[in-house]
Amino acid sequence: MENKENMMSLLDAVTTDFTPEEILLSGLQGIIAGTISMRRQQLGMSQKELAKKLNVRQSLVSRWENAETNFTLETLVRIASALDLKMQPPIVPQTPQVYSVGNSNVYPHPAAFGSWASASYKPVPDYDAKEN
Amino acid sequence: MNKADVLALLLQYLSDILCHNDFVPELISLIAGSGYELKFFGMLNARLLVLSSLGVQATVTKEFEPLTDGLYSMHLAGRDFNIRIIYAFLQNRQPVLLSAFHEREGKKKTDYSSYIPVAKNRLLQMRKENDNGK
Repeated sequence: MENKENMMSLLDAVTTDFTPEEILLSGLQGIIAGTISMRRQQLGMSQKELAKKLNVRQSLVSRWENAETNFTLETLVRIASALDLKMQPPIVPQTPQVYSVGNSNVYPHPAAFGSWASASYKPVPDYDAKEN
Repeated sequence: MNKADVLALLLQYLSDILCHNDFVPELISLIAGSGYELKFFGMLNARLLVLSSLGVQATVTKEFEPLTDGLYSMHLAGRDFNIRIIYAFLQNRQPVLLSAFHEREGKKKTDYSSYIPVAKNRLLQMRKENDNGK
């Protein structure tokens, strides 16, 4: 069995009875939790040290790393800052859209769609060009 | 958004991890219908991401324990569950999940004696398939 199929079958089987939204929430909590734990280890920082840096209890850091909490954006920004992690918008539009404003078409900037958009996006206007 | 899209998104972070074919049904038998599947799923994603990123070095945390003969144990303990996953690495350092079981020893040290032979046998099979038996 191919590697990806193997892992996909594992993830699929564990989440048989759940909606995509429930799976996404739990999965993202896990990915964020793992990222915090992994980055903290890379920096040689203990849970206690991270807790002190963020002025929270060590037990809360443990819960973060065990995917046992929902994260507010505020908390994520603070954690990212403390661990020198990169933040990205957690939601992006599914597909690029063109809006009509008056007689003109307005194209959203490709950055609004995340990195995946750069491969398929065909820029029409030059966003950085100054208007004459 | 459908389930396939969601799983594909999560898989991006975990695609370098292998698992033995008998591991998946074994793990499912432990958690199916338990009521804590989603909590377990979140924690599983967290542990697998750490394993994928840190490899052998994951054992610097208490959730990853070195055993014998190149085997390791991943601890997944929540309020309602306490599951161990035995794993190892192939020659190319790819992690491979081998066996899973409920830890029921409580405060006592986990007894791996009945699980290690199964894991070793599965690791041999995986190495034959992926490392040409080395």
